[in-house]
Amino acid sequence: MNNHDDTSAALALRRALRALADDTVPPAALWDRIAAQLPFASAVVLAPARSAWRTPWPALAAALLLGVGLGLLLPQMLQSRAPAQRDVAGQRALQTALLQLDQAQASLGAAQRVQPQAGFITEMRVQTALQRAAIEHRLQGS
Amino acid sequence: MMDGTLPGLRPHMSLPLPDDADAALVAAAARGAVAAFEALYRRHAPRVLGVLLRLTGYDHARAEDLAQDAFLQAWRALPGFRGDSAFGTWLYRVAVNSALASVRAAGSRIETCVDENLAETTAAQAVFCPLERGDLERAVAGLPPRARSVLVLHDIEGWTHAEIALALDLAPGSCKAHLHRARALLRAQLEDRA
Repeated sequence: MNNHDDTSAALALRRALRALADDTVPPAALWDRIAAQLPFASAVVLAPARSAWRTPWPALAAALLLGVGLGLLLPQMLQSRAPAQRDVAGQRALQTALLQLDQAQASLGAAQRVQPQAGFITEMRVQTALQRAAIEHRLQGS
Repeated sequence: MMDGTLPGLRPHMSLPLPDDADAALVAAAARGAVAAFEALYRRHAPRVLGVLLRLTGYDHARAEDLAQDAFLQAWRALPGFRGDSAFGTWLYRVAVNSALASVRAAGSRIETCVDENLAETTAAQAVFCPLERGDLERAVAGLPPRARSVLVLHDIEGWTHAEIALALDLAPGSCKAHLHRARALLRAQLEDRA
């Protein structure tokens, strides 16, 4: 193989990759999911209706448990970690929390696909996203 | 925080030009007009979903979840959005930043997903043949998340190494190494499929 072939191959690959840079029409259901959550997303945190908590779906229960647990533990952890942000161990803990939040977000997303109108799931997703943003902010400020 | 940017977003990135047509929609949506926000969604969701699909390795469910989160974050932040950057640019950054969160958290180690020797030899020897789009998408999807992120942002989205390094908390030199590695892995995967 000569240099010309190498260059041609690289350019061809770059061109092929560039061709992937197109837009994707979202499925109609995506806006429906978002629209169903907008009033909740803009509201102050509201307690979910009692009937909503009775949803008989194990994955939803697991997602709720994760979300509630993180909601209780993360603020405390963030406060306790603040003075030691430059500490490598502190950064690792925050990065672990990020991964856990991503897992919680994925579980909540799965739950929401089953129950797209459940506003309390939306609120938890928003809170999870805000917590993740706060952690990222701290990580980048360290 | 409500100054039009979110934590982790860098306003200097070279992204789409401002679009004044969005300004009225943003103002109305910030006052709670769902219809205006839907119009913004219709304008910007295809681009957002496109980049999220590429970053997630064409995982549609994950990409749609991330797009949903990005629009909800945007809805919440709209009352404080000052328009320092175009809405589309800002939304794109929110979405990409969310997609990169788990990649950043995984650390900066260069990952491998195929045999190292195979990757290096085929990268050096392969003559790149015209590809079906599906083959290329599957090969991109088969890359490890960090390698895929660097490759997508640089070779597809057109970001600079400096921009990617900032987004992924990497040194610029390390970013170049990740890109070199990603291309080698990609070529190795394409060779395997050929």
